[in-house]
Amino acid sequence: MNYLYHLIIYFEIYAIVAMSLNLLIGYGGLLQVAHAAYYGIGAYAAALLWTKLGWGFFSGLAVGAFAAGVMSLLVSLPAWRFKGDYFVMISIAVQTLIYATLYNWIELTNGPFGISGIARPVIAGYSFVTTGSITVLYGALALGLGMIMALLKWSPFGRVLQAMRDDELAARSIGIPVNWLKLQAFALASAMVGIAGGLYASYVSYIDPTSFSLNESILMLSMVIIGGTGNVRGPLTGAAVLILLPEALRFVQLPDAVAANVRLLAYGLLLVIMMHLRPQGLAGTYRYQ
Amino acid sequence: MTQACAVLERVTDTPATQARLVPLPPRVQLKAEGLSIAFGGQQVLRGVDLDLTGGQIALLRGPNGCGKTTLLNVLSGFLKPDAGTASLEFNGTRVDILNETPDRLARLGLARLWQDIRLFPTMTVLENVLAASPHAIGINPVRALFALGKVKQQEREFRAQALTWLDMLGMADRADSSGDKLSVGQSKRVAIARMLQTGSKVLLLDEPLAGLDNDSAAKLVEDFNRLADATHRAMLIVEHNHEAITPVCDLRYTLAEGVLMREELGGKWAC
Amino acid sequence: MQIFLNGLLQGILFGAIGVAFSLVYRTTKVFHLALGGIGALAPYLVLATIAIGLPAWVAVIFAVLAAACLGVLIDESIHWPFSRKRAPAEVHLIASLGVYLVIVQSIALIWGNETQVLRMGVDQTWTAFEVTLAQAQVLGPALTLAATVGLFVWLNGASRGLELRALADNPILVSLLGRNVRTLRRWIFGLSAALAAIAALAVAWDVGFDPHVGLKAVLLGMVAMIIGGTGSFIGPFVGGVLLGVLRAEVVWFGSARWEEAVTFTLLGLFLFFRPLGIFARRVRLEEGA
Repeated sequence: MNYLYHLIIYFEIYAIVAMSLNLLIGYGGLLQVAHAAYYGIGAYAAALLWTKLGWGFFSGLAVGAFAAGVMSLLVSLPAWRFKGDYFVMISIAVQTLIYATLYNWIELTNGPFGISGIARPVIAGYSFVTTGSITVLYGALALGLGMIMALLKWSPFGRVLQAMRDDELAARSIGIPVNWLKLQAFALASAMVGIAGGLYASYVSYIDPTSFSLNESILMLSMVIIGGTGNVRGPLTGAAVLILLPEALRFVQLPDAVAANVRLLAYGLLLVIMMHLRPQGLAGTYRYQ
Repeated sequence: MTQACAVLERVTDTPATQARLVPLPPRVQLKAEGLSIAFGGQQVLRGVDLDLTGGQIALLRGPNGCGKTTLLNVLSGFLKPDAGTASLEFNGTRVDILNETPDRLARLGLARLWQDIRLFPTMTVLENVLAASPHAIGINPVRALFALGKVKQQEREFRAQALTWLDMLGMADRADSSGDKLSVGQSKRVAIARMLQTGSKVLLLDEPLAGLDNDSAAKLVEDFNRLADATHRAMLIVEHNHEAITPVCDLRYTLAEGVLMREELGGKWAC
Repeated sequence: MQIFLNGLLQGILFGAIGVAFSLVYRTTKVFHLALGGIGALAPYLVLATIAIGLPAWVAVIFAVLAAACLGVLIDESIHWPFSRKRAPAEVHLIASLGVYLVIVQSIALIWGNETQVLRMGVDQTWTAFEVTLAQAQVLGPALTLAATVGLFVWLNGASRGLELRALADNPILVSLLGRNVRTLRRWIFGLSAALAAIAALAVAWDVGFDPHVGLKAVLLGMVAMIIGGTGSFIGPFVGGVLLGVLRAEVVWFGSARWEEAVTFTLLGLFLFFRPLGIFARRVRLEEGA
């Protein structure tokens, strides 16, 4: 049973990641590969506040989200001038830069040795120690964030965001503040994935930079491309596939050592096949025009 | 002089013949001087001057590919010229067009219609028009989440306004159609409604009548005329279908070899 | 002087990758991330060929040719069909990412994730004027330089080469004139893959290789292209050399930790102050980045 909870917790964390990336890619049309860096900023900020300064669960999470949101300026400002391929290039550069900082700034982050001893959530005196209780807590948070996403999608904000995605020039010509929108979309999405990072840190109790590398960003991108974007079901499907695929591999007796490689290989194949046959992903609605 | 004529007209139109002071409508003016721009060795605009006041309809004509769209691009802030100035004036406040982003200009009251229409393909007709709603508090995500009441209220007003525009253009019954499933003529009409939804006083239109049949075109021209008069909008219309526009226009600009010539036509200002 | 030469030699390799990347990007607008995979594969092909007893020079030629074939195969099976369908740039990029993943993960599955080397023992060195250079350090870049120069000669002399340059400057006109764009693309993808393979072998010969260097190398190639400008083919080469020299100088005066920071600072500077690169050319609104 514990193992099932474990899977569900990972699903909940990645659901938040997928929904946040969907905001950028599905609603905003802002394809980028730096998301894991902000996942990392959220995780590290929260972990440091929890372990070094003894901050409360939600306070640490909030600061992590805030830090990630502010740092998103590194990608959202370039987004003013650069689109498409150039912008992806820049996001790779930002991802690598943030990763290098997490890895090399040993005084702050402990570098490759990581941060250990991160406690499970404690809220108002109640300790969420069992996986069952964490499943419920994270599930509630994921649900809450999901509802916020849905509200945003149907709001005027969501409307002008999608207009910008469809045709930036036309959007500008009717007064949509495109630059400002990009700042907001990135800040929101980065803050949200920063929260997911904090949740991850608290659950696994040890983090190091390798969980927040370019490979992880690519994995996150693949997750939403394969699952689909533009709606709610797409990102959730992507998160589910991400969690279930390694389980399926384990089922066919694949040794753990090669599992990571096989998973990425499968993702690569799926990406190519999807683009060819089903660009909107398994369950999404948005396809590139 | 022409403003005074308008005032007089209105005053003498009233049953009572006592002279009355009628407040002048807000002054709106688009002005450009000495605009020049070259592309890859070709001089597309040569010292172009332009002057358009609220209530005026101007036709911009010229041979294909001579730079009319380029001029619109400069005036709407999408392109910076090599030389010259362009400004927008509202009731005494002047905005330097060349120093503003296109979206800020649109929010200040200068909107444009694209020759290739550019509707948002994944959105419905109504959503396309609604996206242009000015000063929507809901486009700020924080307000969208926490000021639900006010946002919803504003949305109702925007919706009503959007449907009015769509109705005027004969597209109200297609409000829920997807933006990519319309004919050229229909798309164009939706794009015009979208432009009008911004509430802008200065409108730059690139081939608004292309794709419309004669009756629709005539009706649209009538609507433009009414808009210009009643709401004091200024319109610069690039159009090949001269015959349809000429009856209602006050100015005719002709662009040839980068040089812009201006002619005043009779129109409605003769007095 | 030593540092300068070290940087220069490295820069030649960065420049070659930049040229290879821009060869594809300028002409077909394909964001050839898979190039990183092709480059990563080359040393392993050499390893395998030597393992079955063939001499080193045969192995090298085989690896380069195989890389060229792989490049052509990728275009024929993926990018050309997408281009014909008028697929948007995102589709090409995601598909290229997928191919990169497939290649690199396949390498990892077959040969493992660890770093490997192509030569054993201490290398022969030459010293003159207080400068010491290792044979491996010079040989690779020398060959790469020869290959790059050869490419430039071909681009300026051969009719096919001139067609390629025409395609980079004005793709629509070229296809209208009835030139066989498909054949031209084969040359483009083949030559770019071959050049990337040569540069990859140079690096592998000098410092070793692992499956995951590819993406980092492509990133450096991209930065070289941005610095040097996308308006020409020689621009990326100059950009790469500049990048190499500056990285070497900074590492000498600062520390190796900040090598990456140099790359990104340079990228940032150029993007904000001179986005069209060193050899900037005025482009129309429609062609802008």
